[in-house]
Amino acid sequence: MIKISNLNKSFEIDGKKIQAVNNVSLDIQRGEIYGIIGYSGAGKSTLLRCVNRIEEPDSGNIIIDGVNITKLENGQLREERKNIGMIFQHFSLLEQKNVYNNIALPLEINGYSKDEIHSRVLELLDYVDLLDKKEAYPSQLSGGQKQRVAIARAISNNPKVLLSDEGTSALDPRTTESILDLLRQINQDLGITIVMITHQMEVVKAICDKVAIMENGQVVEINTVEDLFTKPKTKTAKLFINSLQGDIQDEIIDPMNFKGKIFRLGFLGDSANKPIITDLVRKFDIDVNILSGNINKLQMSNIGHLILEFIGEKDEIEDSIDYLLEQDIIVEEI
Amino acid sequence: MLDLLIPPFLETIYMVSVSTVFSLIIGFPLGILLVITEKDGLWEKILLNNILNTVINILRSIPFIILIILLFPLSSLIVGTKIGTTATIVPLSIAAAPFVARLMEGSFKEVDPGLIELGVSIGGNTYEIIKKVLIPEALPSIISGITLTIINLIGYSAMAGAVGGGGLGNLALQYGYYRYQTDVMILCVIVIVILVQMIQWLGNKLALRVNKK
Repeated sequence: MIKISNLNKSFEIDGKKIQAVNNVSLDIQRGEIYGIIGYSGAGKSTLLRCVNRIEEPDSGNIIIDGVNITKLENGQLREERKNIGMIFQHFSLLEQKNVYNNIALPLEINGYSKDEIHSRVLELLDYVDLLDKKEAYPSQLSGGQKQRVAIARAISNNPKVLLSDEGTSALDPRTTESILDLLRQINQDLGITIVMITHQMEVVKAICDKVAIMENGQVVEINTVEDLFTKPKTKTAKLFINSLQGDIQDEIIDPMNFKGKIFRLGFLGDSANKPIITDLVRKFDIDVNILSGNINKLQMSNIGHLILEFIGEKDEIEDSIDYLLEQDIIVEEI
Repeated sequence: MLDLLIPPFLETIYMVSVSTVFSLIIGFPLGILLVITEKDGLWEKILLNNILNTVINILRSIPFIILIILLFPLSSLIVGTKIGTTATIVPLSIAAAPFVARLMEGSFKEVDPGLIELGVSIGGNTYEIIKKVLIPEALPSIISGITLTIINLIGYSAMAGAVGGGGLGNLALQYGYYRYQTDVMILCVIVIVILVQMIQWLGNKLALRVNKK
């Protein structure tokens, strides 16, 4: 659906050249919710803004649904932008227009008649559950309500793609959850492909199918969200996983402080629901000491982590590890 | 006394309102042009932007009295005479236009750049973004700017009285200064003060009323 290849974008700040996006290639499938995560300054926002050319890339290609965005003339680009909705961290609502007129804006620009606009806006207001706020001005709305209006506006032209530039970063956790629910609903009901930039692992965990991790302008890891949690490839990925509240922090557990061997177990899907520990102690002559653990609920399945201390004969421990591997559990010695 | 006061009062109203309209017709588009042609603007044209800035700065630095004299030929050309109330409208409009351009530029610059970006992201062209985003969002500030322009033009119009224009400024000068009728002069000043106060009050009220922020 969206194919980004060898994209580059640099800025000049105080005479110094900064490579904000460095040779990035991504392949985003139709109907996917694709997360791009990174710390601030990683270049993720610049990358996203290149997708609808609010930011003009230096080189590379962006092909959306067969159309090469980077090659379009101004007029064609404006038409194509109507197929790409966008939401922003600070909502970008027109303060002087009421909710109705904010949502109507892209429709007016797209040349719909007053009647068409009227019925479409009401339909959208109903969809985002804000019919009673039709006449309200943005200053009278809460953050979550503002983002709902912005989402309604972004999908008003029935876009193929929705871009979210830190769409939940300015919201509290509960509101974030409701906005993420709305985005998931849009993705499922309308089949809109969503690309979201975020620095919050919670967001990725809650709704993304795939995720790209950016650092210093480059994509350092592309993974499915499930694999990201169980088999993170890079240190940055691990740091983001650790940033989740209540998650395991490897650094705290030092194997030197324990008699036995320390293993980190990763469970995914079905294996997360099995009574693995009791199986282990019944089948093998070992003691198992649980040091820490958690279960994260992902969009599709559950993902669990356990850090265990294995006490017993070396052979028995090795056999037990083999048994765990047979059960599709990821085992990593710490 | 009232008979003496009313005709020049009406002249002042006439001069100020007509020149406000003309200075807006010239200055408002210039203000938009200043904003969109600057670096990273909607219609970036650096050279044009530099030229506009220079011309506006030059026009704004010429003292108003000198400007009227300089524009005598233009006034004769446009209205057929270089003295009188109607003739003064030409220099008044031209003097206020660059001032309006700067005020409007300031109003448009107050609009959150994120909203201009939004306009771009929904596929708006430059004209649509100006019409549907820039102007509506700047409206309260534009109204304050127009209020300020009117008040400035009242001051200018009084000065124009000194070089052949009509209005309250002329009356104050003719009776108060040349004929030593201080009471007429004071009355003129009082009327001007009341006029300015009323316009400021109205302008504030209107700006507040349209502002939904």
